[in-house]
Amino acid sequence: MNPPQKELKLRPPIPPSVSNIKTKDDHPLWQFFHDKKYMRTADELKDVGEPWSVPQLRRKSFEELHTLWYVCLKERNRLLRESRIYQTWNDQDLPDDPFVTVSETIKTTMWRVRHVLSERSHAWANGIKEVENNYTEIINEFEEDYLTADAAADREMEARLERFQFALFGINPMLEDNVPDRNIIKGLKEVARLKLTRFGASEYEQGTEPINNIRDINEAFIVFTAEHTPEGVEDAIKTIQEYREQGTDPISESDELTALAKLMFNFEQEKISVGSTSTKAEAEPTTTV
Amino acid sequence: MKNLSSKLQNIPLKSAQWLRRYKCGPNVFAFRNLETGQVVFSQTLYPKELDIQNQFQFANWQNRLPKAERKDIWRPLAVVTLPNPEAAVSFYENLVQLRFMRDRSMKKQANDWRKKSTDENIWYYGQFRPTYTQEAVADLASAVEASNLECEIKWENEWRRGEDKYWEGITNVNHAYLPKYNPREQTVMLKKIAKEAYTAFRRQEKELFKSLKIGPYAEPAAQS
Repeated sequence: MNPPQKELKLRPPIPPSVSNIKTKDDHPLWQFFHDKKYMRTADELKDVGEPWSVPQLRRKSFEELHTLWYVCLKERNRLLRESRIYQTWNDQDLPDDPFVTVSETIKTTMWRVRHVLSERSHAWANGIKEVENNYTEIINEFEEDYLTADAAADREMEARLERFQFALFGINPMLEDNVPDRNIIKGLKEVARLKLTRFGASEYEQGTEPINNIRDINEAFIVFTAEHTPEGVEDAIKTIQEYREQGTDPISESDELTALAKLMFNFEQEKISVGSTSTKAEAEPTTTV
Repeated sequence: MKNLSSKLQNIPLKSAQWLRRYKCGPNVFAFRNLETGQVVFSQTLYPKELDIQNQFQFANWQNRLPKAERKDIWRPLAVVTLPNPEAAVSFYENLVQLRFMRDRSMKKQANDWRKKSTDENIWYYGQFRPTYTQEAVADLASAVEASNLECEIKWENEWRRGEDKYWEGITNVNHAYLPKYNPREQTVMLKKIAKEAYTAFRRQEKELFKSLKIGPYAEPAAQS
């Protein structure tokens, strides 16, 4: 049985209220508010600096510019929201809206970021065009520098060689990041030929056939991954001699891509296994002690 | 229902017996019209023509007769769960009674409470009347207080309930919220709530019967 009812009385309307709503601290829309404030005062916007200059921006990397762009964009979103409220409440034309002034400053930074990026883009396009036009000249020029440099300049030449192979053949210094293609095969052979000419001229064991040329991608890869020292290249030559003594036919051009993919896979696996053994070797003493 | 007109008394409501027979939960649903802000209370999962006939007897040019067929623009405002079907029926009757008071018997008082625009109108733009939803919330508060039973109101959101000061004297209510739902699955969501309410009511009733040893739990009479 239900208890007796109370008297029914009419009440005034109950308007909805926002006071019951609890907003999460990490709500995404907080990004439109500075410090969770409804609006900033004009005093809080006084200490705004000047926009970034072009020379300052030229020193920044792409990642830094990218970050700066989004920081600016978010700040402009905040300012324009505040500006809209400011104009609504004042209900008149405001020539010096502080929010708009700061927003314009940020806008200047933003077009300068774009300007710097476009400069880089044009420089890149021009560079590519120049490489295409003077391809053989650039290779010959580098070859001459590389082969005539003395032993003292080995390290410098190694760095230059890395840049050369990246610029002309697209060979990433991190070998495992490359995707095998014809250009990379061409680059590997070219680099191997240069290394062999620079370091391979030293004495080799008597009674063995001198290694003057690269027969296939396998040999090119051995020389390419060899250390940039006479000893490194000598070891590579020995490996090639052993390889040739086995009497296998050189890899044909049609099979080169598959062969390179296998070589790169093995190279990576070896690197991983070497890395794991070295970490084990490091870990061992600590466990024994 | 002494204040109701003879016309209204002839309209049959869903009785407690009906709710039991068709296994409906002891619920009362409040639906809000998205276009006009009008609210219709219902004992079923969607507003029926009967509910509208009950609650819009004095429709006029600024409180037009809404259409039950437009199921797409009726959204749940609140779902009230009562302890048993009898309480649910009387709760619904009280809401209809309050609507009658607003439209007829205490029309002037109700109109004085309404917030007016600068032109002394209850609307601001188009056909939308924000006051109707707010009055429905007040009616729910009145009906809860009058029921004198523990009940739960599931609101569509935190915003609708209004500030706590309006609910201060009413201690027999538990505020909760409807789950987040896709409008396409509105009826499914309401059906689930109604089913849960029915299960809870049946469980409670069973325990009551057991404790009182009545109904199916009655002790067999001693054979002479």
